[in-house]
Amino acid sequence: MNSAANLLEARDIAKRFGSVVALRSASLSVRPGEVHALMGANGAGKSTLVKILTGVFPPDRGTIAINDAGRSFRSPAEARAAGIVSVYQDPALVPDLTVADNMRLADVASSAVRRWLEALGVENLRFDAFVRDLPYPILRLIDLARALAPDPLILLLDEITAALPADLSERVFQVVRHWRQRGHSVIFISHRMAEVAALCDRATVLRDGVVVGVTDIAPGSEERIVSLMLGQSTTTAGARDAAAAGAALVSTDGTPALEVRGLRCGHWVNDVSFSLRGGEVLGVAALEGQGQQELFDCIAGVRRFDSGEIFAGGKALTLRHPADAIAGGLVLVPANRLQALLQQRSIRENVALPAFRDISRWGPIPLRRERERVAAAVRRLRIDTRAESELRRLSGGNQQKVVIARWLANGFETLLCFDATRGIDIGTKHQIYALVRELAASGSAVLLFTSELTEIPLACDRAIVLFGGRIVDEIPASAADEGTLLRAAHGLGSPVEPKRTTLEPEEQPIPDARAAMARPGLAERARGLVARYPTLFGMPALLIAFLAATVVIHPNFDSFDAQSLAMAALPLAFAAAAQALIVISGGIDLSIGSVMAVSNVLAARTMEYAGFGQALGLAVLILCAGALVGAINGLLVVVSRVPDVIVTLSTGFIWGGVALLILEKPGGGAPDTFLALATGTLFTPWLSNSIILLAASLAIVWIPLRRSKLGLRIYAVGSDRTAAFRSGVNVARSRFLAYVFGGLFSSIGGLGLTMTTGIGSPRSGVLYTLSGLAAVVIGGVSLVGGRGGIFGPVVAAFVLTLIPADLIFMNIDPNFGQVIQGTLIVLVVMLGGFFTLARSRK
Amino acid sequence: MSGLPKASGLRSLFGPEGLLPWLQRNTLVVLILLLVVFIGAVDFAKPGTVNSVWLSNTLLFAAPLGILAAGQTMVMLTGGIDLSVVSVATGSAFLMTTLTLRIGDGWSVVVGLALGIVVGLINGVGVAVLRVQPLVMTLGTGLMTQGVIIVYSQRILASRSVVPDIIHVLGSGRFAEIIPFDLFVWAPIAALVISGLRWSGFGRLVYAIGDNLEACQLAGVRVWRVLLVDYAICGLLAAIAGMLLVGNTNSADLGLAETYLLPSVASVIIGGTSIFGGRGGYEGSIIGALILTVLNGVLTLVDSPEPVKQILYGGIIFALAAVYTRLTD
Repeated sequence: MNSAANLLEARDIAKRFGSVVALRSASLSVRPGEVHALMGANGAGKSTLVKILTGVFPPDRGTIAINDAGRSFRSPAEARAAGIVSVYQDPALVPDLTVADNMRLADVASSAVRRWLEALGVENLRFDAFVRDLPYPILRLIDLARALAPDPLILLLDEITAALPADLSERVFQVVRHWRQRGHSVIFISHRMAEVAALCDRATVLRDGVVVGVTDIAPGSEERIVSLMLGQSTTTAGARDAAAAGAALVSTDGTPALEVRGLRCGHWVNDVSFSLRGGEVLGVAALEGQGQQELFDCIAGVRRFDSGEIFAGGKALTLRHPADAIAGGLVLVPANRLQALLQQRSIRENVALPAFRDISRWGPIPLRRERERVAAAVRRLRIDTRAESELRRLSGGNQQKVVIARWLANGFETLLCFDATRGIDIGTKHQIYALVRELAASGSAVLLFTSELTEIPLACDRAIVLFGGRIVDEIPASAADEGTLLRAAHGLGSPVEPKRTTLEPEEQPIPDARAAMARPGLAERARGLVARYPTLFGMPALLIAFLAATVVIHPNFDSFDAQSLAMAALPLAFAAAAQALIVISGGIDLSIGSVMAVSNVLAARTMEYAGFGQALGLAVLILCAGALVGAINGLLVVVSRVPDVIVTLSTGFIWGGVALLILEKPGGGAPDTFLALATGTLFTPWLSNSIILLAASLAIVWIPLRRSKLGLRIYAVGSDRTAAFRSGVNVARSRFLAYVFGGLFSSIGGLGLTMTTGIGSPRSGVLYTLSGLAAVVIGGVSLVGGRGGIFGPVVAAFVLTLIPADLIFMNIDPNFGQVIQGTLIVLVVMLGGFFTLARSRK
Repeated sequence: MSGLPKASGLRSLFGPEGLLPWLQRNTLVVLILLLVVFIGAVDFAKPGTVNSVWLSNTLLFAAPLGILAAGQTMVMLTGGIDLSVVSVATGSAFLMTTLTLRIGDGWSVVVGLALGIVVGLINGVGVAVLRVQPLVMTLGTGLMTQGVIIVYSQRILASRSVVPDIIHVLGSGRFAEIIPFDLFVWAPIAALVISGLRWSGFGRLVYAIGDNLEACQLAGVRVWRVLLVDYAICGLLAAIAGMLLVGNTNSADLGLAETYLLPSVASVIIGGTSIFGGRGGYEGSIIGALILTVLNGVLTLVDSPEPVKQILYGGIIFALAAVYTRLTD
């Protein structure tokens, strides 16, 4: 371990974003076999340095060397190849893919991942489970295991224990120590001093974009690190004094500010009752996932609860919406500031937001009164307003203060503070706790949850301990030291050392992971299959229903009708396929109809006097042209960063114009033998060649694509672009290729138009863009991306074609077809929205 | 607004205190410059064209687009989009003209406007209450409306369609030969929309919802109410735009507003409103609408075949949007 060479040597790294300097000059040296802590307040530049080291973006200046060899990374994939892997706070896993597919995506062997998962205490994980179905702590461990599997030189862990229960955290530490023994290194980022002290060898401290110190970790070095981070000497004792200075003025009149009786919510909150008086700060102490989040959500009106009552100021509240809670004087400061704040708007708009919740306040804003009220709140909280124009320019601590300022300005009775100081620098933390004591001193009630047990006595008068959704203890502040709280928080009776202890995995409730690990029975698997691929079963059922109806309406439905139907549906089916592919990749293409028209007129123009062989050759060329057009669309979308709606609306105009240039008026033709490829019947009069053509095209193009790495990447990019990027996917290239294939399908559709109509018509594609989109929506592909397939939309195309045909059979005006099509879309999506809403209400 | 930049040398042009960041913060200036450039291009293509008559015509034709863009702006600020505006515009105009003889001028206008509000409310219910994606919802209602109007048009083939006098005057008349009357419709709408977005609680909520819907809910805002009203207003504005259009052409035609869909969205994007919501405003959309109208005029003057014009139109709109996106990134 005493080798002279550093494993990682980053020197003089600088990075600025526009006029904001994130890193001035940061250097980091990591020895082999070392656990090195990277410390710093929010805004000190930690996350920027991490992103540079792992290839998310390059530095403006500075060098990085691994084992004395200079390196530069332009992507996470390159950083990983060089041996640096990071595990971020958000698991870089694509939600709509299975675990196995996620491993494939990152080119990591599932077997290696499985071994590491077992080392981390996660056994028998089903790798064919979808990531979105797995609980969050498990995802973090999968992320970690995936990082470990390729045996990187340097592991970068960013707040790895943030959402893990104690026993899993302990396993992580064991793995980290084991990693160190092998001569690899870990860069460890955590706000939890106790962890850093227990695990790390050295620490580098950042402040304001510069390294202010590198220190060995020894008993007592915590104070030094904190003072380095703050730039001044602050002790927790001092903070406690400052906090205690605001003496508690607990109101002694009868009515509590907040009273909760017998609250139950799912399996998270099991019969919780407590009361809180004005002037009192009540702390909630709990380990990860004991129901505290759900408890706060219920009281704040964010979540519906099953039974129990909530009283504010003695009045019973019916809570259906946060507005009801706010009306009762209960306001929430959530852990995640991103949830509560408007990043692009000013401080003033953020603070004033609740003022407009009543319709009566939708009119003209009383500007002067607003300005005064906002200024008063900002002053009281000492919010740094230098970058007033946009909230996102403020540091994390200041942003959190804005959330509190909002409620100060609006007025409240009870403040619900849920882990309000998570991820915030120590200086701001103490300011917030001092404020909490001030608020209590002036008569407000505060319910405060913090994941840092040591902070409970800083601000609270007493604490209730939550374990398994129940209150298991109540402790006055004077007795609320970390040991006592930890003991109670574990639901244990005997005293425990104030350090994390290893618990047996069975003692920690992780119910959902159990379900993911068990082997399901056959019936359950069948049900799962239907639930997972509803369109695979639903769409053909719908089509059969429509066909049955058609036959009933028109008993003379003969093979000729069947052929006509197939031929009419062919172009739309391809338009739907093209759109589906692009939508799955997370985009949209409003130029599909125009591309079809180009293909259509090109064929009709060039094939008019050609023989069959020539026509086939021309067809191949036209397909290439279609792919080229798709490539141009894709290139413009990816490079210009203009939203795809605008790009493809514009290129739709352009391609439409090109089609008009090729063929001014409907005309042209193609050899009969070529037309027969769609109009003929090779086997039986009931099976039009169109169907064979459709099936063959999909089989040759879609099925291999779906199974390929590229297909996986396309789904990944549509599902979660960031996770895909961090997994090493070239997002731009994948999106680009989706458009290329979309162009290919569109041009097949255009050729289909030529074959089925026999001519070329420059305006032929107009209807297909929106109808194709309609088929995609009805076919069950979400516009959000990452889900679905081509099968549903193609079948939906047939359904949509049947509708006007049925209308004609019924002697109804076929123009009603458009009405029905539009109404069908509206009904399908509204029903879908309704069911999603109903499900989420549960 | 910050002071004027010191432009000494190329470094200061692009540095933090230079011209480029100043332009980024004051995009309205860029837009007006672009507009001037385009007007200059018109005069270049055919010298002597730009005079008071031309100006008057341009404003006349820009007004319906500008009003469509107003509704589109309000919807896009919440992170949505409304693809049904052209169907509503056409539908309202058509409905109005076919009912004039039966129920009189005043009532036919009311019914036309009501159609806009009704479709807007349906959009709002889908988007706000059922959380359907705006693109899909408005696509559906647009198709629905268009279809209904087509069927309706075949039912009433026999009766005549007449544009109410007041609409005809508003749509094509001019005050003192210069100022088009439809400005008297556009200007108040513009004033209302701009001041509403800036200085009303409703406007604040529109921006807030586009920025972070969840934050609004946590702050006690009942988001569905705001969105419902927002989409209804958009529908109403689309109806007004359609009426001005038919007032100009003076004949009910099912393809009335067909070519206005891309321009209505493009005006808003070029004007600086983000398609994701939370940022922008109607001032920019007004200039955007003017730019597109002038662009259309330029292409009409240039003596080239229809397809080339179409290609140029799409290309230029894309180029404008691309430049704009780069500028505001």
